[in-house]
Amino acid sequence: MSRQLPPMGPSDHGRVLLAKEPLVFHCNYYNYYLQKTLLLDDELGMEDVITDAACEVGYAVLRGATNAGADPQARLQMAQDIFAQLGFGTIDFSAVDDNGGTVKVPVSHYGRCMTMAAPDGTEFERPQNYFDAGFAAGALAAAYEKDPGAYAASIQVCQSKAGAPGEIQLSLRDAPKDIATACGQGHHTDDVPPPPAASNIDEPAVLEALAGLDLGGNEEGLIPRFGVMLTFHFANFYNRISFELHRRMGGSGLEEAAEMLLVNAGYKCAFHTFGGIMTSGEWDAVVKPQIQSKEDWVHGMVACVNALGWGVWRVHELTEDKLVVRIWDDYESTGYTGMYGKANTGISFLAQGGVAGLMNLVYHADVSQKPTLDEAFYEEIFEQAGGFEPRQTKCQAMGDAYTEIVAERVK
Amino acid sequence: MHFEARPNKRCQKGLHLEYVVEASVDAATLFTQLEQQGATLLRAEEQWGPRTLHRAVQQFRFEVRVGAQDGVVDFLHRASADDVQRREDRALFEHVLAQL
Amino acid sequence: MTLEDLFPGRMGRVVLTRVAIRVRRPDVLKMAPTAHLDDKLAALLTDAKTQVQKG
Repeated sequence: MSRQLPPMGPSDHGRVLLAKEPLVFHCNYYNYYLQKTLLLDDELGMEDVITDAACEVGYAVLRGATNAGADPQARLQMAQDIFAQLGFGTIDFSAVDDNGGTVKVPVSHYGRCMTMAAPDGTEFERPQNYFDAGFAAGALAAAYEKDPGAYAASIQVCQSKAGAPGEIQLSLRDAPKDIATACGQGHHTDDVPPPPAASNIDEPAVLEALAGLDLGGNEEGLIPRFGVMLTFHFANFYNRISFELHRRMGGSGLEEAAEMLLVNAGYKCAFHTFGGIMTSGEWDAVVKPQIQSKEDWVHGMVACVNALGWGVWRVHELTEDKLVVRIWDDYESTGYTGMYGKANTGISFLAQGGVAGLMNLVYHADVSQKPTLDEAFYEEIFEQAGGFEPRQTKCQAMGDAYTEIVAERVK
Repeated sequence: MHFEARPNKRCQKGLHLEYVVEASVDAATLFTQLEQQGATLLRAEEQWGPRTLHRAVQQFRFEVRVGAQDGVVDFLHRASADDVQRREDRALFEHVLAQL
Repeated sequence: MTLEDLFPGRMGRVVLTRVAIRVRRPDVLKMAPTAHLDDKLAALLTDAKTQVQKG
């Protein structure tokens, strides 16, 4: 598929940068449960945080596109192509000009795919497409070389509620709103150790095989893969919205509760995405032939994680009751330090959920038997005794050399 | 050819159907037959180690994948296809599959 | 009605966590599962549970 995109290429540590913005793969389950967490407290103003974070990255990626040309219409065409390529859907800027206008989103990951991730029968009362709104505002501001906060975005229609194509109204503000500046890829570590010798998994071969998969948006701008809907999303979008929730919960007595739910969103992601990968034809063809032990399931999935842009994961210790993963340049730490400086507590919530989720899949749910990874199975496994709980023992954002997550079986 | 259709229950809520087939399906033949019945397909291949995945897409309507799993042909509706189109496309696909 | 009745099991604990954030009541997370809920609290938590289970 021919799309006009900003410079996009691999950086170190399995990252991909799009006009210097780091991208990470995440699925509709993570996007749904993360957003659900963010929007729990109506008084925190998180709808605006999500919209502004999307504006931040949408603006950054288009302004960073050295090949976008000077014509606003060409820039908006690039924005449409970016939106589709990264799996957000199809966005149409044809009815906007520098004063704003109506942006149509005939297909939206957030509009359509949140309903797929939610339990059957879930009623959607609020829109889900805040990302689309913010991205549209940021893209329009970039196209017309205005301040990033030049346009207000108002969601008129969201597919999650109405079923009809999404509509966003953009209008020029009297004075631009302050929008944060995206921090790019952030910190980089040079000395990352190789994968452990104890593994039978050839990680470079796994990464090479994954690089051959077409993981770009299809013609409607969605990425149906591994039983989920993927997005090749902006790491700094996730970081902004997650850490802003954490910050706004400060002093409420509910900080730990918020952290638990951020971790839980990562756990949900692991169940569906890791589980989807480990029960896929791609896995059977590329990874399974190398597997000689239960431990190799963990090593194999860690090899795949290293293609997701999440940082470099290394298994430090592994038994059937415990996994210790060390992560260099986990995207949460690099984003946090880029945005806020040094952290005074562990902030790698997604990583915690991912590590616990991986162990639950391999040693608690026995993913090697290819169970159906539906909501009923999730609940069954979650309720059973003997599952794994994570804790963060080191955090690169706190100044440690690497981030360390421990997942241990609860006895 | 005899087949059994089952929804992929994991996700995509009805978008993804798995067709368990009684014999291996030649992707090129399947795709050509679909085109002869009126489909306009974009074809592609992916290499998964020793395995080749054959894909054919009728844009904004459906995708067919042969080779992801032995004995299974995957049929995925596109999200933007409406209910009428999905019924038509599934009927077309099943008609062609049955004739193989 | 107890907390456990309204939020059973580990899944229920996750739902309770969402509810606690929604109604800004960190104290409910410290209550024993067997704690009896007075009518007012039960109504508050039941309503919030319905809200958080929406999309």
